[in-house]
Amino acid sequence: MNSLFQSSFKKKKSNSKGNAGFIVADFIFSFVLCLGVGIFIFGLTFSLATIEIAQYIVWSSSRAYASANESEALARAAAQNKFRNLTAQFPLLTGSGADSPWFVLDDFTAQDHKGDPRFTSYVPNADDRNNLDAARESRQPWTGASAQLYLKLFSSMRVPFLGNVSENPNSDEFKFRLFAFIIRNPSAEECRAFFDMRFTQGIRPLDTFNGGSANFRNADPNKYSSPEDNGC
Amino acid sequence: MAIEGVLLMTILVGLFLTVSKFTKDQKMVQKMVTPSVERLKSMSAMGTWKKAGCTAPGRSRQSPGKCHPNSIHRSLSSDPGP
Repeated sequence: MNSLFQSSFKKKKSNSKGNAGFIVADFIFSFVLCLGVGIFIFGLTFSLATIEIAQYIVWSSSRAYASANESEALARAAAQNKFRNLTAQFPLLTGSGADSPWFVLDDFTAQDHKGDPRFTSYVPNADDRNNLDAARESRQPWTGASAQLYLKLFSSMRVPFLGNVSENPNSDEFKFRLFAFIIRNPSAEECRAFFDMRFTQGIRPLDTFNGGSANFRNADPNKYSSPEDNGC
Repeated sequence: MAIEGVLLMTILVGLFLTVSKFTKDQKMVQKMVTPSVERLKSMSAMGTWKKAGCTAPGRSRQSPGKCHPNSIHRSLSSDPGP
């Protein structure tokens, strides 16, 4: 009886060993699938985090552009400098200073975007582009900074058994344009031009009012000194 | 038992390969990803999920440019209207 039991037990144990192959196959199968989904989720979350960082970099550069400077060109150079310094802090996320295999943040511009086709495609109405309100007065121009973020990570991603994430890895599908708009403070150059306009558009035309003197019209602009009253 | 096991595994692997081939042929992953990326692109650029623009209660549809969080026109989230 005892030997019969032992024999039966040994037989069952032997069968159990024979099924182990199923578990290995199941494991490999599920492991590969989980790995594929894991890669996809990793790419997605990493890309979303990178978009946040890229948006901050563009926004910060836009602030540098918005600050008052000697001229608009110098403000733009300050924005470029800010962008270059910030992107250099994140070489993996921006590809600045190194060839990042995952993300590239470049093609930076700081300007009024109403003439930039990369922006105007988002604003089909001409009045909106020129920021004209109902009274046809110009409001906030589309002044600020923009850059392009390329998610190389996604464009070259391949999920096991299911194929590429992108139909055409070389397409612009994963190239994102980021914008940050801030009203730019007038530059010192623009302020001086504004003060000078008081002479050409304010003082000189005075002779046309109420029998004014022609002396205003004939006044020598070289003898006029623009008062800088901080009213710019 | 071993024969049934091999047969079952063959069927399962074959089924899986067929399904994965069908998925690849139909470009199902790409079709799932592309619209989502378009929405993400619109959100990253202009602060709205919809490529056609954004709306708010009691307001007319705004073009995407006017939906941007830094736009003076964007009175949609901070002032959603009456």
